[in-house]
Amino acid sequence: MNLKTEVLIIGGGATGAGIARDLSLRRIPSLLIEKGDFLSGASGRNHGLLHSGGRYVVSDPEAARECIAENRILRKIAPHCIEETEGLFVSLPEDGLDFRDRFIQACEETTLPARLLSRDETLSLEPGLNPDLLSAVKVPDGAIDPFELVLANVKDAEAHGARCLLHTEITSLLVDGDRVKTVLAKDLLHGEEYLIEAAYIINATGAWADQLLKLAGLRTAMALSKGSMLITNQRLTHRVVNRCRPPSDGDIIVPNHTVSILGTTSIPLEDAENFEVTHREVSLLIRETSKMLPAIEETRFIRAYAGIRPLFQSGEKGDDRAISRGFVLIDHEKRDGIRNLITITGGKLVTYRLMAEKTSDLLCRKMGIDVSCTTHLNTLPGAEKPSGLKDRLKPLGKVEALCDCELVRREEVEEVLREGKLKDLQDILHRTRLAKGTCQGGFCVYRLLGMLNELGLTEGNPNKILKGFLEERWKGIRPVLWESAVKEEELIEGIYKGIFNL
Amino acid sequence: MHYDLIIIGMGLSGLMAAKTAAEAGRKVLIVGKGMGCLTLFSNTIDVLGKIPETTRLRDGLSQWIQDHPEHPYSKVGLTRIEEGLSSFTSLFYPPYIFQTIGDGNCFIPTGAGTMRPTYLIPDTMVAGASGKEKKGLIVGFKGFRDFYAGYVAGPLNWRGIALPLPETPGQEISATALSRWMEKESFRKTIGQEIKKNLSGETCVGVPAILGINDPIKVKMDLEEKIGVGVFEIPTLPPSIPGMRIFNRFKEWLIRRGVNFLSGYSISKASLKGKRCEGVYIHHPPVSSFYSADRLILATGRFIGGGLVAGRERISDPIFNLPVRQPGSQEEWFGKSFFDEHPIHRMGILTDSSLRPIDETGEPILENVRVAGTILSGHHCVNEKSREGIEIATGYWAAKKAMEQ
Amino acid sequence: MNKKPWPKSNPDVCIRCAACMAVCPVSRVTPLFPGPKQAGPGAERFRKTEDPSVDPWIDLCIGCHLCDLVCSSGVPISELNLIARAKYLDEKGRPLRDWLLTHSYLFSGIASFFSVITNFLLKNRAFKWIADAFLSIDRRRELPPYQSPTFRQWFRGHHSTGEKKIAYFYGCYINTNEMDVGKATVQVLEANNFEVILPPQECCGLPMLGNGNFKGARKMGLKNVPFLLKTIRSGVEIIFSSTSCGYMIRHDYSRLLNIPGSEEVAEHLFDLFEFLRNLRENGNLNTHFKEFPLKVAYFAPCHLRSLGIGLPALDILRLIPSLQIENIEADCCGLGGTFGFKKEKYDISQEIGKDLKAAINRLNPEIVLTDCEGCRMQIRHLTGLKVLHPIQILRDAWMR
Ligand SMILES: Cc1cc2nc3c(=O)[nH]c(=O)nc-3n(C[C@H](O)[C@H](O)[C@H](O)COP(=O)(O)OP(=O)(O)OC[C@H]3O[C@@H](n4cnc5c(N)ncnc54)[C@H](O)[C@@H]3O)c2cc1C
Ligand code: SF4
Ligand code: SF4
Repeated sequence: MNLKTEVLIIGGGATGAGIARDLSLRRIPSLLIEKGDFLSGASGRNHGLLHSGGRYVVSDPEAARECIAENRILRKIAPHCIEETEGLFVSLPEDGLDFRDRFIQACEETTLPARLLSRDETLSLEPGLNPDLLSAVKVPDGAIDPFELVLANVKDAEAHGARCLLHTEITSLLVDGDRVKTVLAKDLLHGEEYLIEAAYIINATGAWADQLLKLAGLRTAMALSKGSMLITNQRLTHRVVNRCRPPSDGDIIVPNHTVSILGTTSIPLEDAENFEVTHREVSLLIRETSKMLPAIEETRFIRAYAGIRPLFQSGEKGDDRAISRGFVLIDHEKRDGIRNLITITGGKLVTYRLMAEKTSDLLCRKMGIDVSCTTHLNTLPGAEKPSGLKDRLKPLGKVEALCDCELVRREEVEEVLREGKLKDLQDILHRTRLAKGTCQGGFCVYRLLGMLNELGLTEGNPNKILKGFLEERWKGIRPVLWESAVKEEELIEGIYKGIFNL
Repeated sequence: MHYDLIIIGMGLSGLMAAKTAAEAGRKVLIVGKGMGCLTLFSNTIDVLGKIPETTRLRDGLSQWIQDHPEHPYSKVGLTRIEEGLSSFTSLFYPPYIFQTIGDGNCFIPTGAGTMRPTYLIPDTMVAGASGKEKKGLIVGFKGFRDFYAGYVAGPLNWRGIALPLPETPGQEISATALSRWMEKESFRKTIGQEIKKNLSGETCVGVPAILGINDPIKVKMDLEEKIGVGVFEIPTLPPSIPGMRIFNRFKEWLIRRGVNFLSGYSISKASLKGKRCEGVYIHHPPVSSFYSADRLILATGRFIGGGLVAGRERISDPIFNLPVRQPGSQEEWFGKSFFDEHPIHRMGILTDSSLRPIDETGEPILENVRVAGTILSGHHCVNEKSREGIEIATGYWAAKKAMEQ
Repeated sequence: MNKKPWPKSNPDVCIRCAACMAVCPVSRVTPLFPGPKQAGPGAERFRKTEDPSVDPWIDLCIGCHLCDLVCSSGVPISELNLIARAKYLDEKGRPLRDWLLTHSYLFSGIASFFSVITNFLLKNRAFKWIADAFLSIDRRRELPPYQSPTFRQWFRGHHSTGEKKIAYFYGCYINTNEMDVGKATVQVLEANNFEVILPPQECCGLPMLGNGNFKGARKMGLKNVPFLLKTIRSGVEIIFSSTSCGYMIRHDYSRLLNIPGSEEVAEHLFDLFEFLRNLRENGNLNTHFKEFPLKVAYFAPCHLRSLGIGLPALDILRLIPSLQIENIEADCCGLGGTFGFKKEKYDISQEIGKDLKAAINRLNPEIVLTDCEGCRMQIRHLTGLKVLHPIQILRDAWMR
């Protein structure tokens, strides 16, 4: 099949979705193509920290400034995706106070609002923290739900004319002279092939940016690094907790809905597709984060996962002087003489909007049109929605919940289904909190399949999907199986291999 | 208080041990937290589902015993396994009885539309047994989240319908609530009519396993009369109502026999003297009570039951600290695929042939303690489909051997 | 209440197995209560102390502890529920009715004194209508009649003798409403050569705790424990005949209410039949029973089960020749302390009770026996049968 578009955006992470929205608000037609579901890359595999800028304030003030500004904007345009938790940078005895003092000074210089708290003040805010801590600096960190955020961007983009094609991979970029002339893509679920004609192409494939450029015979100086994270069964702190020292392994705890996320590691990686969280990383994360919050030694984990970040050699960063060093924006016309190709990668979830703005600005310059960005002025769809845990708890007893652990109602899933376009189970799981709780889908995915079956939405034997899900789930829980989690596993095996004889 | 025998653990193995000892007139205390796996998995009695479909169970078992000398079945032996099973079935009197179909395994439909092999089934499941050849209508209930008629019917090429529950529209309904409704004549009348209307040539009707807790046969027969075809139960997600019936029956029988039935409490400590255990402490904060006994049986199950505890790197028995045979580190406990046979499931307590715990050299560790149930090493009850068989056989045999002493 | 006096339990260990869902009497009869798995460890992941309570359904947990007994992971489910309920009720405010139901000890003395009038009122339809309309006490419920003299008054005129001493915590209800149970207890203990003494005592506080009033319950505990400590430190052990009061003092005083000295009290506090069973173990129980041909059914109250002492009354009553005694195979009676008195919960309470009634009907006894006054009240209400405390039968079966 042939497809035509003015702008082709490749990659359905925060960046791609942000660009689709930005362009649509500028009335520039676009088509977004993503090989999985939205958020199947790093956007769905991070801590969900709404950076205040604190984490970079010492090492990279410019990146910190971006975070400060974007943090403020996101609170305005996407309040429903954000929990204003505040964040603490705690100093432990072994950290000393040198870094803390530099930290406070850097905050002042970058206008990051920060307040020094004494040990007692800190412990009264978060009684679970290591009582030996020296002090903490309070900053406006927060928690952000990447799923809500990205999907809200997509929704807005589509409402303004953008189109999206999921589960479709770009397989070749055919260069003819100074242009990418045609693009080939393949529907990964049904095998259909597409031939796409696009005036401009934006490569927003994050860690896959290099791989994609290879299709056009180009390269960037990019390496991959894996960062692993652990999810606890319960929310351990109300605030984000960072270690007040130069960034290193296991130095952050981010609360997110019902859980907390501990991170992270940094391990060089060859392949962006095949990776797992290792035993060593799990031990390291627990050891390091429990220094800040001793209860972590005893706490229960429900999942381990990893995301991949692209790393750049310094040369790559200076390409466009107007752009900060927080992310990489490459105009391939300047660099490689290909006029209609732009690459945007790196950065943060928090700066996705800025990245989209700069990319769209560059595109407009290339297209010779003059419309300015409005994404920071308009709120995202859903902003009026209430958010928070209590809204899940309240209707119990009056409704049918499919997921016992995250209290996801059947109605909620039905609503997601009505919005359509869902091609597989993971698509539904991305759009609800189903299977994100204690049993990690042990009970509710069976129920979900039962319900889909009732609605005539499962093709063939639902057990095939169920088995696929159980294998996916296994990847996430296998690294954290001990204590209660082993019991849980025995239960789940007893159900699926035993009672259901799968 | 002093007892002839203390049984730790209230799963099927503990209950069988208590029954065996009470029958012999002993003074018995059974203590445990929870109901073992009875309310979770045990809808029917699996003995060895793994053997080929057409093999007689007897032959299958004796071959298995030959091939697997370390397996709990091999310690108990064929005759005693059969004695244990018949002791179990003798506990149930008509009309709610357990039976076999033929002399081997039978196949019953499951909540995922698969067929699963099992050995003894309650009367409420007979009409669905080996029923692939039949034409069935599967009936589910809206709001009952643990069973989906269409899901079950699909792979079996049957038909499924979901009936609305008039009293709780839009709300969810638990398995126990549904079971309770089933015990009401008026409810059966309504759904009976509804089901009858929906029949189109089907010769049997399958429902989730919720046909009442107290008198399931009455519920079943009454429904059959109203519908006109056979009705059967299909096991699904926990809690298991058929398992509860088993537990309740044991409990009733044991209490009537004067067994001290201490449900809800776990043992905090055992008092050991040389190679003997003198008794156990139950800690119910702030009070600790001591119960002494001549002999004890450890039947605390695996991880769910609390018989085995997995630390970050090691697996142990929290009561007697008996040696647990295990692979090295946590990394090696589980395979890469969910469907692998995970090494962790084979580990457990080593015993001699009379079920006394032994160390790696084969020396008994505690002379007056026996070990029964899935906590034993050398089996993979989920894959073998042997959970209840192992529990019954070893529970029975452990009590017999304990009393010989 | 700013700082919580209760322990924070860890719902992390819940493995979502749903075993607790198999036994909860409330979720068995109504979909309005999501059941222990959800209400306890499930909801706990969503609760933040600083957020207002949004779970009115938590008030439907009857507090029977049955879920705790079957959870093999050791989740203290009913305790999580109680704490959440306390928070909910603290915020919402408790109706006057709850105050009256939980403070009956305050006016029961006066009521007993004027028992003729009080009892007339309690049976009076108009009064019941008023109670129903203004206090939301369900009018279908019999309110317990007050007796005069009270047990304590009776005891004052009674001269107890025996070789050893034993102290008796009788509880409010025995004192003002069922004094014969107290009398029977004293007589049985005396027949075993014990001199009975009554330490000073107040309401144990369970009705308040059951209604999530930790502060009030703690106040009662703080009054009782010094009296009881004094008794045990003088070398006298204490027995109770009401399993609910007993459970409260033995376990909740220390675990939930943190009352100083309560651990020591707990070590020396026994259920009446547990005590008699111990006597028998040591060969010291007077077993001169006569033939007592009667068909009775015994019901083990929830609080007895949570005491974790087995069924001592059944063990002892079985010693009585020709007494036909069967254990009733049912769990909760449905009354749940003051739960079943409340208009909004009456139907739930009755539905739960129906299962017990059916189990009793299957046995068809002449008399029903049970150790808890709440259960006795409820079974009378449900079946119209004669319901006694087992000690009353034991006394009657004695050869004199
Ligand atoms: C461990 C870790 C923790 C992090 N924590 C935070 C944090 O707390 N806060 C924060 O702000 N940021 C955080 N980040 C950074 C943030 O996650 C990323 O910067 C951001 O998600 C990048 O979004 P993206 O859209 O550029 O890339 P991605 O989300 O990776 O999107 C790229 C998409 O392109 C698709 N794609 C690739 N190749 C093709 C192809 N050939 N055809 C079609 N589609 C293709 C992929 O499937 C993918 O969905 C973290 C990153 C990591 C790795
Ligand atoms: S509370 Fe206990 S019994 Fe209930 S689901 Fe959790 S682990 Fe199972
Ligand atoms: S205490 Fe009783 S009523 Fe409350 S949740 Fe547990 S079982 Fe249900």
